Amino acid sequence: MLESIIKFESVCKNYGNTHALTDLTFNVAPQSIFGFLGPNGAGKSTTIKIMMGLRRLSAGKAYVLGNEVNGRNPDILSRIGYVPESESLYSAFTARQIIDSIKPYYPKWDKNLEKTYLEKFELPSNKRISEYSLGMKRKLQLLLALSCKPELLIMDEPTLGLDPITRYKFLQTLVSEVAQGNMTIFMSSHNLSEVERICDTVAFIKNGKLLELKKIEELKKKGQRMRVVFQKDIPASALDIPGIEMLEGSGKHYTFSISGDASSALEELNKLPIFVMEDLDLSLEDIFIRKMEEK
Amino acid sequence: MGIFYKEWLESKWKLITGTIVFTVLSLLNVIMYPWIQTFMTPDMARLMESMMREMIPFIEVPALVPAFDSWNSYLYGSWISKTLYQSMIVYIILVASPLFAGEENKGTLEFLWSKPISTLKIVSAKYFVNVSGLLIIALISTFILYPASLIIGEKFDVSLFALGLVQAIPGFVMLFSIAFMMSTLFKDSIKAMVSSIILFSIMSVPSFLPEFRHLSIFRIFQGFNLLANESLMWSAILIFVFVSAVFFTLSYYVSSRKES
Repeated sequence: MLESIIKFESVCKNYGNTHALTDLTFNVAPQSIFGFLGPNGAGKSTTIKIMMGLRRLSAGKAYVLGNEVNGRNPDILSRIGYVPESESLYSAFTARQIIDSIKPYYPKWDKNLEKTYLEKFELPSNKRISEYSLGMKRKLQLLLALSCKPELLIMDEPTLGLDPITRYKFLQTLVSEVAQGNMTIFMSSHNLSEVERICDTVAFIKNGKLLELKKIEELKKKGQRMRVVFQKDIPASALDIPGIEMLEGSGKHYTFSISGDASSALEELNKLPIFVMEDLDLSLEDIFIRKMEEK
Repeated sequence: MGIFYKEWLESKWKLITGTIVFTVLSLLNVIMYPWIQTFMTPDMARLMESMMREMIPFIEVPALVPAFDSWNSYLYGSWISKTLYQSMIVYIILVASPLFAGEENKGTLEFLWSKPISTLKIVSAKYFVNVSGLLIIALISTFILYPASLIIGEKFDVSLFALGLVQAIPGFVMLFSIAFMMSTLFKDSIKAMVSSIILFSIMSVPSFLPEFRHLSIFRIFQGFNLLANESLMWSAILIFVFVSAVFFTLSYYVSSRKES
């Protein structure tokens, strides 16, 4: 078994003078659900396109499913399911025609799985794509990506524009697929709650550089989110204590995160007239915002 | 064969529409003949010939008298030597330009590139499905003239028209290959179309220069040599085939180097 399903070694990608990716190095372990997070223009889609062979590297090495990639390779692509950010499909075609056009190229295409997903997603296979809603198009993309029984599923903002119910069903399908098979999922998303729900590992990227890569549990252990009620009004400047970040509130009520050495920050805090102090769950969103605000 | 099936699905309406339009244009020549015969008397033809020679001396004026004298000369001159190749140039530009540029524009090219289909298969499917369409249109719209001739009681010279197509079709394929390559270069169908129009216009320059007229590919399309009972221009046909192969290879090269 491969040690890494995806391996990037000092990958750089330049578009003219713009550095889309700089010295990007990371590994994705087999059978993991890997979340790739970053603000707009961070380099998430470029990274995904390099994996798919749709972009060439400017420097470094990239390996997907044990093969070096630097351009399209149909042998590797036949083992990957891909849900792109754009929902562009052939609008004059029916779902059936799209399926029939591409399935001959996937040696492991599972007709039963295709049928199951058509029914599960309630996709009318003889209706034109132009008559499909955005959610239906996304579901069809997922059907195409899953019916080929991929070893690696790559998704770029897969739930973008989906309503909560469709998003829930979509994620449920992904989790059950991973639980059943030997699939690894790599996904980029802006929806941090869904990443938190299904991913076991996350990487933060900003300006084409990797900021951090950790298991979600480890990330959460690294910081605390707290709510404090003081006995009297306290100016925000009084909470200008090393380690306290993302301060919100005013007067007696404040919420903040503590990073780094929590004990020294708490020691300083205890010097203030605290009425109540409670631990809150640190969400991935809190961690994300903190990461993005770090210089 | 999935990718050929996909290209066929995308191209079938262009093929059906093209066949109908070309067939109508072709049959118009038959429908117009009785009217032209009444109007174009030998004296009128001679007068028009001399007027055209005086007004536009740099263009070679075809001999109109014999052209209207015989059914096959008239039909060949107005279909193979004029309407077919002129319309086919328009058809080629309209059909070939969006093949890659249009997909890139619509965002469907990324969908295609992300599938495990070799670039050669993708390029070949687009090329050969549409070249086949072009052949089918040329054949149907030309040989529909056979039953149409019989209906009006004229004899259709099958070999003359078949030879005319043998000479013209490789040229059409060459123009298609050039427009196809332009489609791989641009991300916008309109830009691909304009660049093909510019290239074809440059290629038409020899037609206006008497000393270089024999080099004009458009003159070879007209096939006046066959009307004058001369043989096929094999060297031109071979050059068309060679240039087509070069542009097909270039299209493949550009596509395989391209980032979606």
